[in-house]
Amino acid sequence: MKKAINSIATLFLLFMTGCSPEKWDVLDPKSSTAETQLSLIHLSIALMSIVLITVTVLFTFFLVKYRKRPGWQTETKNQKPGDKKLEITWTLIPILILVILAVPTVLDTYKLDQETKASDGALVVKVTAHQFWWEFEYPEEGVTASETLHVPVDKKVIIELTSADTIHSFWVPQLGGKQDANPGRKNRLSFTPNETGVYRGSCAELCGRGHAYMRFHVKVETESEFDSWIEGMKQPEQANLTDSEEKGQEIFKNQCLSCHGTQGLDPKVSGSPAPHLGDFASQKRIANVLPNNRENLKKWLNEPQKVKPGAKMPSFKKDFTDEEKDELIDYLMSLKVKEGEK
Amino acid sequence: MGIGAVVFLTYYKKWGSLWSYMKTTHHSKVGILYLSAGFAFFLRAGLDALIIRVQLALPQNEFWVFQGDKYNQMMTTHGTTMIFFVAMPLLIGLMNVAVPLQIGTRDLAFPFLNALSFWLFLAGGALINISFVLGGSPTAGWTSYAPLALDEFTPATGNDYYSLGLQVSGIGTLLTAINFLVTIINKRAPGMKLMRMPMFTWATLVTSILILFAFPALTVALLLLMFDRLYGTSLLAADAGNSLIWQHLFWIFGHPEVYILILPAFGIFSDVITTFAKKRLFGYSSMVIALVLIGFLGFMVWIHHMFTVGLGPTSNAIFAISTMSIAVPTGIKIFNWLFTLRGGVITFNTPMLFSLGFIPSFVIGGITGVMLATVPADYQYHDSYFVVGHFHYVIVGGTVLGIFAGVYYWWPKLFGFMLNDVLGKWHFWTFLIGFHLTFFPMHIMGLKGMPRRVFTYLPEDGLTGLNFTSTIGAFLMGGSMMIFLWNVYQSYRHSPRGVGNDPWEDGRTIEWAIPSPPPEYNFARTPKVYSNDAWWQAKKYQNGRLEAAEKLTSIRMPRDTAKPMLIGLFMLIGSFGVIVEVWYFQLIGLLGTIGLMVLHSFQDSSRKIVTPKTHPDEKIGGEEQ
Repeated sequence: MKKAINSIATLFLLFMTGCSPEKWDVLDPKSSTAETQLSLIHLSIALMSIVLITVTVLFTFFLVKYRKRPGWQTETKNQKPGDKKLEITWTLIPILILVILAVPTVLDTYKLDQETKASDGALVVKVTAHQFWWEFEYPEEGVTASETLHVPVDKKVIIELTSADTIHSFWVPQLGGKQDANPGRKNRLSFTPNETGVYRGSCAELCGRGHAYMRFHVKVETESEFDSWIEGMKQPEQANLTDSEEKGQEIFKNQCLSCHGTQGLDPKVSGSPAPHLGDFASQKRIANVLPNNRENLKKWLNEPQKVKPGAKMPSFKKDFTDEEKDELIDYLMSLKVKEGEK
Repeated sequence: MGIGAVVFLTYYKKWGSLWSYMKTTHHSKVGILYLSAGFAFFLRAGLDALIIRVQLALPQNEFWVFQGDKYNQMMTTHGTTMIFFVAMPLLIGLMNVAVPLQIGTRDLAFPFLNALSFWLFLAGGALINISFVLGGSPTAGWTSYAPLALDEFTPATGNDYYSLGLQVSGIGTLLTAINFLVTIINKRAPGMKLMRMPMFTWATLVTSILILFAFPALTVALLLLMFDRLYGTSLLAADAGNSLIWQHLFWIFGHPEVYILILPAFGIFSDVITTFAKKRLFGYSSMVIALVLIGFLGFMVWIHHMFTVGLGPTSNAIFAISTMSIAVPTGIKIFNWLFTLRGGVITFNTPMLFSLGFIPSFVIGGITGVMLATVPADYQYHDSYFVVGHFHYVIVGGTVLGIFAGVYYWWPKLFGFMLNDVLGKWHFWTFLIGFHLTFFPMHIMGLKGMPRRVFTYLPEDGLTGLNFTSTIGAFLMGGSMMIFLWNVYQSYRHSPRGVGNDPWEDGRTIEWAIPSPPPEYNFARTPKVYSNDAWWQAKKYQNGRLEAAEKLTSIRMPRDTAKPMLIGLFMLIGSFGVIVEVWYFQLIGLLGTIGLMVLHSFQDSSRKIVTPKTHPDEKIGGEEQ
């Protein structure tokens, strides 16, 4: 018993304070907001460890000392109804511990809220959650994107959240916690990323069938990279398409454009029923499910619902010949923002 | 599966006595019904849990059909069933078994109502379970948030089953609460002052008050959901209505609900620990005050489920502080239990092991609870697996261990034979190890960014090892439940019958003063109570005899009737009619229910005369007969 409890306690402390090599960890913050949150997590773990250790030590000690054993009393005279001093002690000490925790909690709650309200010089991104994908709109720049949220490093970002259907929740563990995206309401979340890199985000509120695959990435880049990406997103369709890409573009115009936008063909997809494909070829995964390659893309075109439960895209298995599918895939794979082209 | 539960009952009871159980109004028989049905649902919800864990064992795993919608069905039924149709009925079953004995009364205040409560609960449980084969189970999670739960986004009938099933069983729970309130306030033995009651009875009293105030909120919320889904109103819709109404109402009910689940377990632990440490409860009055405080504060914290909704920093801060403050009375209770152990003589048998295993497990759950109350940190934890880890630690590590402790503890009192202690210890250790193995990794998964209620994750998430560990633990817990069932069967076959009044030999409260199983009228003569732990005092200072408060006379007992069962059946038919929108089913249900109520109100014959055996119970008396 003693061993079990001790090992549980040690494991707990090890796990809770240990670092992890993973790259999407609450314990590995990459923004001011996430750091504030982590400092509170550390504080609460430290304070709560005091409680856990105290209880574990007393518990083990009493069990060992007062267990029934041969040659030991079978009755006890000790029938004390209680002890005022002790009871006051373990009322006051927890109150003290909680006060130590509550003060920074309240202060930080207000601090984070203030940060979302002060929009001076911050980049505002309007994020709309859809079943089961994310739409990122940069109103200042007139750019809309999906799947990957690009933000510059060391600049405050304000996320303005809303939802097109059910309640979703925007969560990027390394950049600052989560906020719900409520239909018909606006919520704000802000963070200042302090390191470039790609961070994983996901929807945290159950929103239906495809909830598990409602993910996105946040790409934190240098100012110049970010600017050139914005420029690239604004550019009309690149003109130097190959033959098959041309044909694919035609198919896309006829069949896909009613839902999917790309830059140049239909740059404004706000309120659109499906993700914007302007930067499709740089996506890591198709619909956040399958690794992005030609074969998987074919699979996706054939049976979207099978790949991603709840996807609203119809199956194009019978609509296109194999040749047409290849052409369409060629075109889609050409949709890549050429960064760094000033 | 609801029918399966009934079949399960019939299989383990003889056909002859089945009918007597179906029309019983006696508290311990109703308690047995609650326990049996609760365990049947436990097996089903446990199976759901194993399916969930198999699906999540590996990244992008495709186990059978349990992805997307089907996974959501499993996840929802697991949560709904475990909370409403496992934890609550098992606790209410134990209350039915123990509370009347602990306060020295013959039965509950309203026996008919008690039976009706059970049948309504079973009707609700049956509805939730029938849904699986008729139109699919609910899919919106046990919290069933609007607008996802509305027909716009979930057109299948699953969520209608959710609203109707919980509504019907919720009525049953509410009636039970009223029943216990009246019983405990009015029917205590002479001298059993409130501050002399056993802790489990106290816990039942506070829990009943919580149910009384919390369940109406759920009733209203479910009505709104039902109207929106079935009659086309837009009360909870995002555009025309307000989807936050559901969240507020649900959590105004939901947070007290989780204290409804834990407080009775606290009561059980107090009784078990004092019994097997052979010591008086340390700080009885502060334990009572803590119970009442936890119950009171339980209504003041619901926003902590909604920190990320965007209600503003002021409400978040206030509710963070109120949530943290609950840790104080809970801490008082924990330390009082610890100091009850101090200076005692501790016997490690199965019920005691379950109670002792609870302390460290629950403390871990409690401290993660305080961590969750720190708002900015909760922006990270919220809706992640950290939360899943937390509430399983408190509900499994608190309520479920408490239920097992209570079942092992009162089993001999209820059936007259002990459960095997060796198998019991096997059950305990496999369960405890499996439980920590299953739920501890979940905290880390949450910190690694795994959201709640996802049916899969990606290989590059770095969650595979943790999830696989968790799955192994889940199967260990499943095996542990098999050991428990085997234990029940083995003990039923082989345990010596006819254990004495006080089979544990250390009983402290008056339920141990009467034979096991007790006669129908419990106490031939109502005892007089002079102190806490009256039975222990009697053994110590009065030659093991409680003083009787009355002469031996004939006793009036409630009469058996099948009406509660029929009302439950009509409610089931009516609710089913509402779900499938067949008007004559609705009419049959309505007329049948009302008709039986009217009929019952005209029948005066709900009590009959029982003459106790001519010799009085030798443990209660004083003067020679």
